[in-house]
Amino acid sequence: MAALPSFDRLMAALERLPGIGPKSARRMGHALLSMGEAEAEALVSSITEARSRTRTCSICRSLTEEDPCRVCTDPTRDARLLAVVEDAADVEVLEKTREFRGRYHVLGGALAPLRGIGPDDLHVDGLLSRVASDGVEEVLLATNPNVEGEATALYLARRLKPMGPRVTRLALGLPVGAALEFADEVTLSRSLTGRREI
Amino acid sequence: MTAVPAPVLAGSDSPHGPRPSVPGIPLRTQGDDAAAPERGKGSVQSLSSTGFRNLQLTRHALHPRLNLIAGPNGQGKTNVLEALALVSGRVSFRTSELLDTLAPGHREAAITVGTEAGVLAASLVEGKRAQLLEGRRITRAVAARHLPIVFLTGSDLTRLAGGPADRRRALDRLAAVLVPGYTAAYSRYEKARASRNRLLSGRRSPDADELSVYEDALAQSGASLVAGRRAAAARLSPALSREAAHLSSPYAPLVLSVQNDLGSLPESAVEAELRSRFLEGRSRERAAGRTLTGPHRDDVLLLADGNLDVATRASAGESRTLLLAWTLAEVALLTEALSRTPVLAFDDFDSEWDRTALAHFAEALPLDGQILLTSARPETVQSLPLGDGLLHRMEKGRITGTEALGAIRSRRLYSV
Ligand SMILES: [Zn+2]
Repeated sequence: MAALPSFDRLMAALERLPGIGPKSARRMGHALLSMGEAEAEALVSSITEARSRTRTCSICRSLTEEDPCRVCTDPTRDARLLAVVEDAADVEVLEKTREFRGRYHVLGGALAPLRGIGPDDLHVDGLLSRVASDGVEEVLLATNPNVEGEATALYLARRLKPMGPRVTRLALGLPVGAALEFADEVTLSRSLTGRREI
Repeated sequence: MTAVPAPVLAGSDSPHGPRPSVPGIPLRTQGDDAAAPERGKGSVQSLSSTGFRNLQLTRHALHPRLNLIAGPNGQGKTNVLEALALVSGRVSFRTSELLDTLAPGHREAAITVGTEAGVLAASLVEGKRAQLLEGRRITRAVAARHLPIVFLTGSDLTRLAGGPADRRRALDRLAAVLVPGYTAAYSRYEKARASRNRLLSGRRSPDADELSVYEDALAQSGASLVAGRRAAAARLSPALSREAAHLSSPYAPLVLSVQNDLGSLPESAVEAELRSRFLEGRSRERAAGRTLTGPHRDDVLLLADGNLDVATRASAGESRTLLLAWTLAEVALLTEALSRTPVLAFDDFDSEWDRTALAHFAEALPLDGQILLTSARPETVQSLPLGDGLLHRMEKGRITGTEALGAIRSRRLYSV
């Protein structure tokens, strides 16, 4: 096969996306190259635009085009209830249920000693100062129902409980090892209503 | 050599009737099944392997009772047993590094076994192992229940006299089947231990709350391990005493005793005790960079007649007889727990063992279990009362011929 260094670079870049293996990267690479000129331009500019317009909310660390984000500034959202999630994408997952009326805090990952990720690598301090000063009465730990997410929830519970708020956990009927984003909306809504105290 | 074509097995009586389908899982036929040899009726009906060590097997049919894999050393006989170990959810008895098991030039390996409940498989891809039943991912514990196999290989010869790890593993294998939740507790414990060790050995001084999270998990799962091992040892001890007596071992009665510094602390108090030990051990363990206390350090001693440590007294021959007894006890307990007889996989069965003990061992085996033996001297199987079966000749990772064992027996007996 002819050497295709530029195509190889494209595939390598695609492979770094979550859930994309070498086979999908190759298929996506070919699809991108066979796109019409205008379509490809639109894709490139949508990436550039999204990158330049979005930022992380300085309060909750979720993805936003205005800082602070709409959830943080919405007066109808319940400021006494705070949901802690691992990633900004999880905020959208919970928002889709329309069940959760509190605010969010994005950790930016989960504790994973084996991969060298500790509390200092996550937005834990920001969470603690929000709970200390913002009149938060309940912290809902909505980290993923896998080993790392559970450990993170238990760690945060240890840090938060002495500060006084009720600390709860999503009661997910998900198989252990799953991630929040794979839960359907009905399951998530149910787990939001059935959350339990840690 | 009279090669007996495998389809002969199709005519044999099946004790189980037609192969049932797994509810909710469509039976998958692989490729051109019509051209494939008919499946046997034992636990391991057929075996395929590619990319794993030197094995190249394509749906090779096994006899429901006795299978003797014969050939000179280095042809791949033990590899067959190791392949079965992986499919049945065990760790390899030769290496902890799965990448070492790939054939040169291969990046992945696949081993499949036709069983009554469907096709069980193990795949090794990018150094990771996956267990499959009918193409669906299953856990290793589920694989072990679908295809229970008791192994006896060269690596077991040091079980009594060697370090605690082999004895602990032997007891853990049994606990995994006898004690509900044991496998889950074990994997939880090992994950928490690895995490805590990483925190202890890190450059930064560890966060006390973070350590507590993993210590809680270690204490909870560790208490389950302590209780599970005690329960498994309590079941194994009388079975071992009984089988040792059958094999005329001078050591009796035998008791397997789990040794740790918890003494006879009641089960309800173990979790709290472990938690406080992990907490107290932090600074010492931070210096060592790892967890120094807990069930991963347990020993399992075989005691006779009260408190005689058998390993310090038994001769090499006596130790081997006890190992045969341990194997029989394992077969008996698994049969009882799973309501089916496990496969016995016995590597190099004629090399290290006393003939008389081996004959008694063979007599004591259940009559309906499937047996796989490997040997460089197949004629020795004649002396064992094991019933009929097949001889599979192994050369360079392939089975080059299969013949009825009865044929070699009569040939040897009458052609002198
Ligand atoms: Zn915000």
